[in-house]
Amino acid sequence: MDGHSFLIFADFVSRERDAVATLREEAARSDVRCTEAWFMSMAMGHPGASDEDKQRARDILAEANSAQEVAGRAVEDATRRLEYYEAFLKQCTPGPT
Amino acid sequence: MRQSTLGRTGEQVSVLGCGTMWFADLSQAETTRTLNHALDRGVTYFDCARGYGDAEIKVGKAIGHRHDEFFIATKTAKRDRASAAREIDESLSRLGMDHLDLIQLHYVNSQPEFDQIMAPDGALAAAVHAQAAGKVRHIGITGHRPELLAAWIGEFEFATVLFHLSPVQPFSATELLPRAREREVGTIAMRPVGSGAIRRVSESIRYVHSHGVDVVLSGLTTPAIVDENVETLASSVEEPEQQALTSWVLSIENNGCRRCNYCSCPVGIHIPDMLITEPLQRHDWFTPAGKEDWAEATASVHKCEGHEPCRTEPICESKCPYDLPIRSTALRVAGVEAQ
Repeated sequence: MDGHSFLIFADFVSRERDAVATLREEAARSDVRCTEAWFMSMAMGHPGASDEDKQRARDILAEANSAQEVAGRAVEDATRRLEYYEAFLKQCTPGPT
Repeated sequence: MRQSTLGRTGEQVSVLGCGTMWFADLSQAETTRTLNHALDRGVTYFDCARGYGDAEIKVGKAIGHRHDEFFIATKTAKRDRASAAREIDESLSRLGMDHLDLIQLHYVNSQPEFDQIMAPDGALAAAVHAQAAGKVRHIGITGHRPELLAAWIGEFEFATVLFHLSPVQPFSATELLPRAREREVGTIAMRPVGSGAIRRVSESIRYVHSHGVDVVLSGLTTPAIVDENVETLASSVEEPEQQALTSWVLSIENNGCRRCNYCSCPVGIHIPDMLITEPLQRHDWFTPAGKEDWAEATASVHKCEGHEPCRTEPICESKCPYDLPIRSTALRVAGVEAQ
């Protein structure tokens, strides 16, 4: 890899690092939403909860669980790709001369 | 790290505890680094729950081998004896420990639920049985409704009670703590910074500590947060500071929401989040993450006004045990005058 290509690739890897960090933040927020949805569905044992309320809480929990799964998978995939890029970058980095 | 006595258990624990609700999102390496750092800095109270994803597993792998240095608490949200007994065994296995220091009956928020756990075939029977078998040392209760918890700690010798306490949810200070102290029940306060939404972190944590709770639980998810929180609680809160903190919290004018989650919004407003964090929006005290959560919680607030079934009797308000003016708050947030 020539010097110019190396710089382009290094910049790409840097942007991938930022992207992984963003995905991790999103996954963390989806965890928060999931936990809150779990609390909400657990609360539906209260005396005034209608069937509609219970169904709505179940739907919200299912949606949150599914979003969490997607976010988790996105982090895993991006992290795996980044590890590969990082390893390649390390391989291409010029050593001390 | 300063210590406190955890109510009638007589256990000495650190005044700062580590809550693990958000650990499901951390890697094992991050969890191991952070929890060992917390232990090294003197944090000796760790709070898990069977419902917090794989937090128990990560905590067990991270610091299970140092269990003689800390107090481990976990929770079961099951209401019947058989399921709760199964969960207690699962928690032991997930944490990789031979006993739990505290098992808490998790998130008990209504009288029918309490009656269910107290019944002969309820979850409490499983906890008592596990205690007799040496699997757990103490039994506690957790919930989001301080006035109910205050009544319930008189119906069984619960060793501890876990509740919300923060500048935007100060209710337990008056509705629960006096009763808990009278009965020598260990007091553990959670969400001191509103799940990371409140920008004034140090003041919030010190406000909670100023009420003399035995443990302030904080989400210690990085070594830097551990250090920051340890420093925050390095000294006790004395009179002039306590007065200043109390005045500050009174000036916030919270919306009265305890996060019982009874309300259910047909147009998708996250009502407890909206009510609890609205003062942060008003005073501009949101963290960036809190601001994003606020945007999501209130994204559909403009649909409230036009939702026909809620015009005469808002569905949310009919469910709210505290008779909070939810609709008018939603309309105010949406920039619409209530009719």
